[in-house]
Amino acid sequence: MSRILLKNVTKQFDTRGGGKVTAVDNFNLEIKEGECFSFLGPSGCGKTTTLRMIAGFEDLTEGEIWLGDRPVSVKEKNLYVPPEDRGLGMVFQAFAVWPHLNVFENVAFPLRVKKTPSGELREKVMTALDHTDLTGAEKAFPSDLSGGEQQRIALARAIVTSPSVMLLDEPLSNLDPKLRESMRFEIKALQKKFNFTIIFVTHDQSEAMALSDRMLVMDMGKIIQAGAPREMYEQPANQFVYGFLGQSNFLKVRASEGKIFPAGSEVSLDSPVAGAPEGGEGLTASRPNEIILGRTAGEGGVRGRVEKRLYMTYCVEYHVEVAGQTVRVHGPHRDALPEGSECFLGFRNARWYDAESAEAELERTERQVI
Amino acid sequence: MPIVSMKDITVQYGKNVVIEGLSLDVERGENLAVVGPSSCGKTTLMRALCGFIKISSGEITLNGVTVSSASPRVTVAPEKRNIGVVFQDYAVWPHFTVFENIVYPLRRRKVPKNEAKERAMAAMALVKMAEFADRLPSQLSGGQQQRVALARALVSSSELIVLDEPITNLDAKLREEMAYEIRNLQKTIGVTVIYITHDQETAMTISDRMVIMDRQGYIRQIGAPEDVWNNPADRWVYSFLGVSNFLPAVRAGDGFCLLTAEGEKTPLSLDAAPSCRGEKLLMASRPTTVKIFREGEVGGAARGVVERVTYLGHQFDYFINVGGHTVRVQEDSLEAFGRGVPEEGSPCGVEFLTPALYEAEADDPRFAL
Amino acid sequence: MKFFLTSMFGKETSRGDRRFGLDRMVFLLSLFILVVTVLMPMIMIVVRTFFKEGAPDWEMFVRVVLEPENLSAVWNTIKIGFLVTVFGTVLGLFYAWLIGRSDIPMKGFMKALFTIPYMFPPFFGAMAWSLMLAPRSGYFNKWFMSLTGGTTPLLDINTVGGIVFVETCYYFPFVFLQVVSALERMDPTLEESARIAGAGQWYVIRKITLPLVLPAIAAGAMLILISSISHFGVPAILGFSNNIFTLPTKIFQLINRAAGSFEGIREGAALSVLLVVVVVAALYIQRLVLKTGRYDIIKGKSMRPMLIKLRGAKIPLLGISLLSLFVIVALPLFMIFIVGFLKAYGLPLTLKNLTLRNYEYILGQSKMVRDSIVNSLILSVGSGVVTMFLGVMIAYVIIKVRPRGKGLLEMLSLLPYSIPGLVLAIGVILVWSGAFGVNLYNTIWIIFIAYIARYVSFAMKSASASLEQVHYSLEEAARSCGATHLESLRDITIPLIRPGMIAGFFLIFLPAMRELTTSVLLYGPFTRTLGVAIYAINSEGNTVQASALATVAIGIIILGHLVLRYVTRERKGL
Repeated sequence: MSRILLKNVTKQFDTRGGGKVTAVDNFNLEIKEGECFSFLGPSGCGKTTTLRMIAGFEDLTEGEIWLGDRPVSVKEKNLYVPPEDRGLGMVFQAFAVWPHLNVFENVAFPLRVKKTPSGELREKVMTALDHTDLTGAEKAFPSDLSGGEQQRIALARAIVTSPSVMLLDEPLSNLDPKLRESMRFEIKALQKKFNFTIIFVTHDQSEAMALSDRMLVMDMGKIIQAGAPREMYEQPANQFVYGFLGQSNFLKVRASEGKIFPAGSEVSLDSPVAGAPEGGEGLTASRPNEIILGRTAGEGGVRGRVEKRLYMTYCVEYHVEVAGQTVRVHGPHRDALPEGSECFLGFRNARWYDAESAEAELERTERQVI
Repeated sequence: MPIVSMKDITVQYGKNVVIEGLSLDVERGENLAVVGPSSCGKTTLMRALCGFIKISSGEITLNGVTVSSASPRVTVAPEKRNIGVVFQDYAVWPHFTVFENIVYPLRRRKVPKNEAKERAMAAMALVKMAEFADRLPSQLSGGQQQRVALARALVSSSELIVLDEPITNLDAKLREEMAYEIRNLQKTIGVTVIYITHDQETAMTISDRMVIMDRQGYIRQIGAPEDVWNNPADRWVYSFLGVSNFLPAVRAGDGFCLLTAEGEKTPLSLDAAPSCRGEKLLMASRPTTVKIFREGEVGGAARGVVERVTYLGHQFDYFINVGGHTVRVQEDSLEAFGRGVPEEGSPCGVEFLTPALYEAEADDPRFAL
Repeated sequence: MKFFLTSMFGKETSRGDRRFGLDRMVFLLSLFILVVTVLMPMIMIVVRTFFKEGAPDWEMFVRVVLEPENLSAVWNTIKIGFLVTVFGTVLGLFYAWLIGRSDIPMKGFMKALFTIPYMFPPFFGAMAWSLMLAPRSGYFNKWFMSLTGGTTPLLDINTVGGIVFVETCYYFPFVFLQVVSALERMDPTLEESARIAGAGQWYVIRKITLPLVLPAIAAGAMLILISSISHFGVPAILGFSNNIFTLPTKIFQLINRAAGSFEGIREGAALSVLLVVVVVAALYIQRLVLKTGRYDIIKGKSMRPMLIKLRGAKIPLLGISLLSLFVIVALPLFMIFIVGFLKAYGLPLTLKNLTLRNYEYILGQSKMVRDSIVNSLILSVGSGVVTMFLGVMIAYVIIKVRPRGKGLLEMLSLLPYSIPGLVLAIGVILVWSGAFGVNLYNTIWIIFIAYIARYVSFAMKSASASLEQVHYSLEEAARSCGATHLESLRDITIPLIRPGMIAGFFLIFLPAMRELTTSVLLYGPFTRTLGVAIYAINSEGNTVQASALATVAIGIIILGHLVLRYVTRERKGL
């Protein structure tokens, strides 16, 4: 019933100069019933526009959107179901709770629209408030409540009609980090209870990985990769996805005779690099926590020198100089290596990206800076 | 001689005492982070140091010269203190170009034109803003504006600069980048830096010493990041520094026991005898220093049940129920996949690698199980 | 009184000692000017109304208030004020919604046109509509009568209804602009979340949008109400001939009839007290309406709000809007323009009846007109500059220095907002015609002082708005870079608020240039202003010359607005 289908969805905006900008480009996706699906990408990648098309706030330029067995936007047939008739729940980044209504009336609003009898209305509102930990705050006005509480009002309002699809538009990014984490669990718990399908839009990769069954990474209106979080993290389709899903090192290397040498070094990495060709130049991508920091040559690995040591709360971060390049490595707090000491790096799970991909990536970051 | 010395200073707005009896010395050339929760008085401290507000008791000296004092009443004007300041909102002047912003302190201090230009150019190059010299601040990003503010502060004083971290700067990457930059600059030109922040992570990565203030404006601990992290002075500092688990424990003869469900006691092995007193204790641990053992693996004195498993890419985040208390555990993904990801609801063994003990309040609810 | 005396002369200061001298001086100077220009006239009105030769005297006030003529003026004032507010609010809301939330085309064009009534004094409109709809001589009525062959006019503008119509045309932009800006700043997700909750477009408008913009509506409606109650020009031009009086025109008539006699001025003062009571009552009602408070409706990422598709209604609505804009904005301006070229009023509007003689007369031969233009220019520029600096001074004290007693200063500077111009004029007469040893009556200076009092609120608000933008850390950054307090003001604060100061100047210059209400009571034989000159020529029946002079005024005002626009455009670059 609550399967969501997007077919060849394209959205173009008119620019002021009279031209057109493609915000979403030929987007195809099927989201299964009961799934929690995340749209992840940098700002301006088209993820929010896609969500707004599903909600019905934006028209399509091309393509069609289905909710369950029901087409809600079909450009070809000029079919368009307005947002109020799509039966969705939605939570916005800026909370969007109504300041002139108290908590109870905010949550009751969707039921009042439907002319729900007052007894049933009261019962449903109280249940929703109970599930969002707002019992007792019925009479309060949003301006008296904290950001976290306001977002919970928005959640209660979204679940009060028990919709089968919930759209979440960066609902956590206006909250402080601690609250963000606990709300994440609350959303997950609500989903278990009410069994709705979630589409979650975010630019925070840990949020997406923690919450979703499947996710996709978007850039410039296109889907770059879609899959389960682990699959995405372990098999990133390109350097952009690799960089987006976690802290990363990109070491300039050359391949020769099946071995990988850091540029300017005669000593090769002693571990295999996935996807490396027989010869040529490229990049080796690695994660700071997947590099083993050895103290003696006997442990193997490429020789380096600790340039800088940063004491952080979850680990000690080393900036290790390897043949003129800097590699970030994470280690435990215990027996931290001092700055200036010699060390040996063992790369695990390293991946190869060729020079062309690297250039494209460079171009992309430059474009974003401008 | 310390470059800044605050002796027993008190600052108040009307009847509202923000800082009371605070003393602090800043050594020449060091990178000192003042860290504390929001509205703990750290910005007030900086404003008192710079001369924007008066102190109601105590004394502040800069290079041994009294600049603020309650009796006899001394308040040296801010412009005479020679402190470079980077404000929370950058305070980059919107009607001046980048260059004009940076050269302003030199113009005010009557530095000859050519020399002023040279020094401003050098400062701009130092913060990598040379190519933006003729831009107006409205044409710059937030991070670039912060750099301009930093260069201006450096030009203003080569001895001491104070940075108030922007609260609105939520972008963690930008913050990290800035932190590295400041640390680098500080090492190359040897200026003394006082960095004010609410974020303990930034404070740890950036500083040589950190000063931890609590909500009431009192200093709880001063020390190098490693020392503070490894030996937090008290429970408040421990939990302020990062995610922490506290479990109830009691004395048992010469040793200590962890209290788990239904009067069950698990003996603790400690590296060194803790200095705390009292019968009721709290054992503190960090998510990264808790090891869990799967069903079938041998190890872990305490027993627990895996309640929640969250995959975050580089690591797994577990909520383990140990005797009715929730313990947060983080495990590297490679290790988790290597040993098998535990199922939610499955039993496990738990070992605390470097626990710390603190005295508990008599009515701590964790003992009321 | 005691508390601010100690704060003025007491020893404690809230900031550094070095700032004592300058800041304290600025504070005392601003307070002095405001007391003299704003507070004293008000006190004098009350004193003269209720005291006679030092002894309390209630009789005169009671007699004046209970006089049937005056009671009917009160009733007219309230009636007109109420009707104008209702119609103006409805009209303003309708257009605000059309432009803020529908997909009607030509929005930018319409928005620009809607602000035009703002620029011109309503009494120009009264003149123009009189040209068209005066019962016998109005062009439209004449055409109508020649068409029907009868003697009943199509419409009579010289009625309460006519006054309400003209005032509505000029005052509805208050609500329109307030609401449009509220709609534009409003977070669109507030409405979108209601759509998602299942509510249709009209339901959302009723239950979400309207309640959220209610404060903006109330603020705009209140501006209309107060403006209409204190308004002089339109009822004066349209009402006198039919003996329709409002409180302001009645006060004018009393003072004029008295020809300077003290008792006459006292009676005018008594009616002024009454007028102020009506205005205060209106303000009190606004307080009640706004009790629910203002909401924070501006946050979140900026997005375009979802526009309501008008579909079939689009073209008819566009037609209605353009037509009404034509009637409200273009038609009156055109009439004034064309009549200004007529050889004589009443001649058909054909090419051969046109001439430049009127301009020749007013710009060349009439010394009175030339004087009035020069007077108005001097007064507008002079009061613009002086008041703007005064406003900056007051705003600086209130925002940056914050001494004890700043509340009093703020109150005094905002008081003129709610004092009708005519009342202010009477107060100024009472203070400056010898009561305190200075007699400025019949000189240009008395008008100058009245203008300062009248426009100081504008200046203060405009200066506050730009000073608020200068966060204190910008000044402190300069201090920490080695600048003294004065240097930081010179290098940072003043340059940053300069565009705001220039805009503030024009906000005074423009209304002062067309001012009528205050100067109509204060002018002497050689100190007519442009507004007074137009009004006088028109009252004398020299309609064509009045129209020509009005056209000249329109030209000056448009020029001023173009400059203002240029200045405020630059400001955005900062």
